Order: sequence, then structure tokens, then C-alpha cells
Amino acid sequence: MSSSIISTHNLSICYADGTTALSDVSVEIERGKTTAILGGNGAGKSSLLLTFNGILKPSTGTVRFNNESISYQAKDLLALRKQVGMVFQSPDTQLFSASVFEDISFGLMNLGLPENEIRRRAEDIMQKTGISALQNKPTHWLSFGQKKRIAIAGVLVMQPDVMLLDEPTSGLDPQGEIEIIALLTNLARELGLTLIMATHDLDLVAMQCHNAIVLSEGRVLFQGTVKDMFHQTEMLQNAGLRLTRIGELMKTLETHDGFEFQELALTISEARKELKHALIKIQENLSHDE
Amino acid sequence: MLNLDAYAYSSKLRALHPIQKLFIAFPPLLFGLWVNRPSISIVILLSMCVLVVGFGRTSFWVWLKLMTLPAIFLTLGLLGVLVEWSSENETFTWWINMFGFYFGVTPNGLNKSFHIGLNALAAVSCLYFLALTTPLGDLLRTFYQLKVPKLICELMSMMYRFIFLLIETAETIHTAQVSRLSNATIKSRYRSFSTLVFRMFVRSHHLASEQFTALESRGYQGELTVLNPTTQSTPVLGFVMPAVLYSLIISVYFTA
Repeated sequence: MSSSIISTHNLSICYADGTTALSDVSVEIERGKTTAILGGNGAGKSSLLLTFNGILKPSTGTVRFNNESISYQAKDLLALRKQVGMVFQSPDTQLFSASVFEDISFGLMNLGLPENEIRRRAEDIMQKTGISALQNKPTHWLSFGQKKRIAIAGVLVMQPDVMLLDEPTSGLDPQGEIEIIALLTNLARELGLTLIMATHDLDLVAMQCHNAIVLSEGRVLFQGTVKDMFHQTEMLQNAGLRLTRIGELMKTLETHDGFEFQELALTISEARKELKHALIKIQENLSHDE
Repeated sequence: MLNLDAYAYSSKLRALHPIQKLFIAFPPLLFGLWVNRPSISIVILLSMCVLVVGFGRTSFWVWLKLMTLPAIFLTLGLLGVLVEWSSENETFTWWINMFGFYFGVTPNGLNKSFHIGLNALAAVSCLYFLALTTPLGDLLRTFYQLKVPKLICELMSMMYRFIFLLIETAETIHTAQVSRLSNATIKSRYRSFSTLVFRMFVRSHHLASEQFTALESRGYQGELTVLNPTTQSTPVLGFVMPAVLYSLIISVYFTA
């Protein structure tokens, strides 16, 4: 099997009102990895996500899943959406039932599974996502973070190969953010999921994502590893992005204060390593001078 | 509405099967309306109070407060029955003279409005029994089982899910408007109310299209097929309660 699970080829999307959401987009998503889709507001991130599970049909170009062009027949779309699940930005758009269990069972019922299998899978996923205690409460009593978990569970329960996440951390408090990310990355590792997330959260990208795609005005500016992306300062600026805060600090220390680092540090742990290195070097130099 | 839902969820009678609860609420309701006798109405009213407060452990004051809500409508409605007019004043117990006519209350009218008032309150108490012990979600599932048309069930369940979202959105917009002094004058109040209504339509439309996309992503094929959370049990209490209630009502019917 090839290493790419989803790929697009010269994909363009024009809406009925004449606006172009995506133009000539050719990207590849690596299997089993976490890919970030970055870009300013209106860059086409959500549109790209929606082409991956066949909600948006390309005006020109193709989308391939497991090296086969997506077919837009109702039956094939159903099979595709079982394998490519999507978690929407606001759980309130996704949860349609006032009962947690009912909402989670929805996707499985659409797959036509037998009842006891559905119950087993639903119980299992509620335990994995830590929402078992919420299942007897109506949706409108729950907090945003809890609803987000249910939305994720409702998609995970279909046992997809790929999860599309639109702004997974937006609207969550810092604690909720950490919990959701830990949940997603643990489950991804455990189940061998491919995650694709559209996000603005650069710290999240630096810490959790392997690959990145940068979009600007519907075009691909960059595609590659996250490390490489953060090295292309000019491209980031054009896309309206920046380094992580830690990365900016490290860069400022390097350019303005004469620090010498070996690599560009983007996260706290990387920065600690670099700073320790730099300090030891300074001490060595000092003792050398004496 | 929000609170009613909360009371239903915390009621001790939630465990009863919704159909059992329908059997407690509806036969007395219909019987009471049909017989229209104060003694029966009082029995129903008291029984419902005992069931909701005694067995369901809902606070008595909550029940009383809720019962007084329809009282306003009832009073207005009963005024029409109570007050009669005539050119003579022989039959009236109390009367006033206006424009050459007598407006007043006759013993007959008093009796009649007392009957109607009690009867209406008894009927309302039956419905409150259902509302205070059965969350709408449970009731909807029963409607599915009772083969109520799917479209109606789906519409009801969507309305139930989104009414809270709608209230929340309306509150947010209202707060935003008030923070910009939308309530300064009568005129601006009317204007901001009309924008609020308009915005609600736009938001609802937007939400509906997003919801449709989200449903499609999970394989929606035109029907909201879901599974019941649990197969509901039918506790013995749920059979005993209507049995006791019916025999009580019937015995009062034949003795009085």
C-alpha cells in the first residue's frame, strides 16, 4: 500500500456565486500521520476538508481515497463516509438529538449494523472518550467541552480510518484543550487513525502534527513536514501565519542577543534543550578565555 | 420550560415506563372532563398532587407555582361564564347597574364556573403529572413505539433539541442589543426586537444547512434512525398506581 491515504489532483472548487474556494490544489495525506491544514480565515481549509469525505464535489480535478477516485454515487459515498469521519467545529451543529446515546447510535444505524453490535460499540466508545457518565443527561445540560467529546465519539464509533477535524480546540478552555488533544492523539495511536485537522492553533501544530499543508486564498503555499514549514519564514508571512511564541522568542534571542542555537526550537521541551546547550557553550567559552 | 425539563429528569417517577405514565395521566383526564363533577375533579387534583409530590419527590411549592400559572387564563375565561346581564335584577345575587342593564352574578353561574374551574385545574394537573415525571426524550421514544408517524416524531425531537439553542441564541443577541442601549426608547425597543426576530431566522437557516452537512457526514439517508438508550423496564409500581387511582375515582363516582 502506498503511504498516502487521501490525495487530491488539480482540485478546484467554485461556488455557485462565482467565488473560488480552492484552485488547482494537489496534496497528499500520509497514512497514519497527523496532518495540519493551516491558513488564514477564508483560505479554504474547511472546503478542503469537506472534499475529503465527498460533501463538496470538485468543480475540476479529482480526490482519491486509497488511490481510487472517489465516486459520488450515494452508495459509494456512504462507504466513503464510514471510513472518513468528520468532527465539526461547533458540536451544536453536529449533535442533533437531545440524548447522548441516540446521537452516538445514529452513524451505526445508518451502517445497518445489528442492534447488539451497536450497543456494544457505543458503550465501548463512550468509555474510551470518557462520556459514559453523561449518557443519561440531555445534550442541552452539557458544557461545550463535553459536547465536543460526544461529537468526537459519534464519529469515532463508526471506526473510521481517517478523522477530519475542523478547529478541534476552538472554544475550549485551556484544560479542555489539553484533554481533547490528549484524547485524540491517544486514540489515533491506539486505533492507527489518520488525523487531518484544520486549525489556527500553532502550538498544537508544533506539538502534535507531523505534516502540514498551508493554504492561502485557495492555493497551496506549502506542503511538507511541520519542521520544514516553520523554517520558511517568508511563506508563513504570506499566509498570515507566524512561528509559535516559543519559536519567536528563540529567533529573537538568536538575531538580537547573540545566542547560538543548533536548531529552531518550537516547543517548550525543544527550547529547554537548546537553551541548555547554549548555556553550556557559553560556560565553556568563559572557562576557555580564563 | 427549561426548569420543567430539569424537574422531569430528577423525578423519582422517571423510572416508570412512559406508557404506564400515559395510563396514569390520560384516563383520569378524559373521565374528569366527561363527568364534570367537582368531587371527581378534587379527587383527581389531590391524587396528582400526591403522585408528583409524594412519589415523584418534586417540591410541593414548585407544583403549586406551576398550578397557578394557568390560573390567570382560567380567571379570564371564567369571568365570561360568571358575569351575566339582563334588564331585570331578580335572579342576581350581586349586581351593578350600567347603561340601564344589570350586570351580575347568579347562583347558577357561580355554580357553573366553579364546576368548570375545578374541572380545568384537574385536567391541567394530569398534564403536569406527565410533564413533571417524563422528560420529552422518553416520551418521544414511546411515540416511536406507538407508531406515531416518523416525520412528526423527528420534527418533535429536532424542535426539542434546538429550542434550547434558539433560546440561548436569542438571549445572546438580546444581551448584545441591550449593551448598546437598544432599550433606551420605546421606538428603539420595537426596532431591536424586529432585528432580533430577523437575525433568529437567518441564524436558524444557517444552522440548518450546517446541520445537514454534519448529518450527511455520518451517512444520513433521509431518516434520523437512532437506537433507544435502554430498553425501559415496567416497574410494578407503574401498574399499581393506575389501578389504585382508577378504583379511587370510580368509588367516588358511585358514592357521591
